[in-house]
Amino acid sequence: MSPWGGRWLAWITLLAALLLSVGRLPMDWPDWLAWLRPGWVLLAVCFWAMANSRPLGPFGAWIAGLGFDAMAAAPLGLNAALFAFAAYSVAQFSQRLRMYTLAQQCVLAFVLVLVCEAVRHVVHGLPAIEPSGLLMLMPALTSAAAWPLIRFVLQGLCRRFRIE
Amino acid sequence: MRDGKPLFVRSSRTGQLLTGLLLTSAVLLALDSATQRLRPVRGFIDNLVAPLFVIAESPYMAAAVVGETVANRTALLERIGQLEQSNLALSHQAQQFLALQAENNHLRRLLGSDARMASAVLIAEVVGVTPNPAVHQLVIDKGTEDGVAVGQAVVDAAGLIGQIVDVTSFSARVLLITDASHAVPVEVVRNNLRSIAGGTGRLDRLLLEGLPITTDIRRGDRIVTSGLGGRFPRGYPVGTVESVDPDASRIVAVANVTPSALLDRTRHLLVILSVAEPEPP
Repeated sequence: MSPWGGRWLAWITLLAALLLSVGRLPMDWPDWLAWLRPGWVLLAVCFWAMANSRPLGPFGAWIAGLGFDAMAAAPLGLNAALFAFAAYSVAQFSQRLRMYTLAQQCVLAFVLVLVCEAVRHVVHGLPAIEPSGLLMLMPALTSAAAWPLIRFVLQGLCRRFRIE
Repeated sequence: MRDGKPLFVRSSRTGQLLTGLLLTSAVLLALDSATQRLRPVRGFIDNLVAPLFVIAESPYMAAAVVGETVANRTALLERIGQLEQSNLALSHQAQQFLALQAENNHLRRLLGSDARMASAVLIAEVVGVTPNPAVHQLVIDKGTEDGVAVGQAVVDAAGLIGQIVDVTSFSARVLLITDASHAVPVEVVRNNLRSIAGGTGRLDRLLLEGLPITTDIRRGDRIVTSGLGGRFPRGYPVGTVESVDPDASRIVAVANVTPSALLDRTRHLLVILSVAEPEPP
């Protein structure tokens, strides 16, 4: 398949990840469940940065991050910078990372999301909020748990559309 | 060897691209945090991502439509009965309110003050919630095309919800009163004691901080907007005092307030388009 095919698929999956990020839980569910939402967009960015055909570079990740900033009411450029940096770092070590076992990749997803959460909290001045201390770990834990699902679904799509 | 060189060139270009992107992000961050210059840019991106909020909300909208369609006749009749009773009670209150308002305006004229303006309101529906649980913002389905503007107050049937902080053509963002960055001037109904109700980042808690330990405020006191500052109209319920705790120094006290509005339950909101005249000092 042409590189454009891979790019289209990457963007469609990024839009789906943004949609998952913005979807809310039913109003009568407890509020704290919102902290369990995995970093869908970051995980999708990492997957495509790891792919051999590189359908998504740091610039694509940066654009997706700008959209996420607008949706999450974060300062413009914060998530854009984080996603671009994550895409670049993962792409630099993509050959080695592809050889990692699933468990090792889950640990990597945990560390990446945790670092991004920490930077967000520092820049956004959120440590002032009382319950955010340990809750900061939750998106990282659920992201690590969601990585096998992301990898399974996106690899399936890659095989379906013959993307390397 | 033929493929070796371009690999290094590409890698170096990607590094330069990343540096450029990080520098651009730093400039954007600085401008967005310290100034309002990026408001048009944010409005443009908000317009682009607004459909995602609507798509994400569509299952709930569809469920509401299906729920109304398949509701049985008995349940609907019962609901109509309840609404008629509630309408009757509210009409009775409204009649009293009109008489009181006329009397109040008359007295204010006698005192030499201007009569209060009635507030024009716009009904809006919640179409999204900010995905960051530490930021308390809602997205509503009304924008500049409907007369919504930044700074307008938003209430629900039970009390103050927050204020508009961002607006696009067809949607707007509401910053809730419980957001950690929000504060609203309030007064206690019982004795007109003025204070500031600050958000805590928790949907069920507001704080009145820095109250002298001897302040006459106690559990059960109702808190309403004071209208000072002119942003929020006077007299909208904000919450009820849950407890008053002295701080470690025993010089000042902190009052915990439970918000009146159903901040995480409500679907329909009222945007107050024209702000009532603030009380003269």
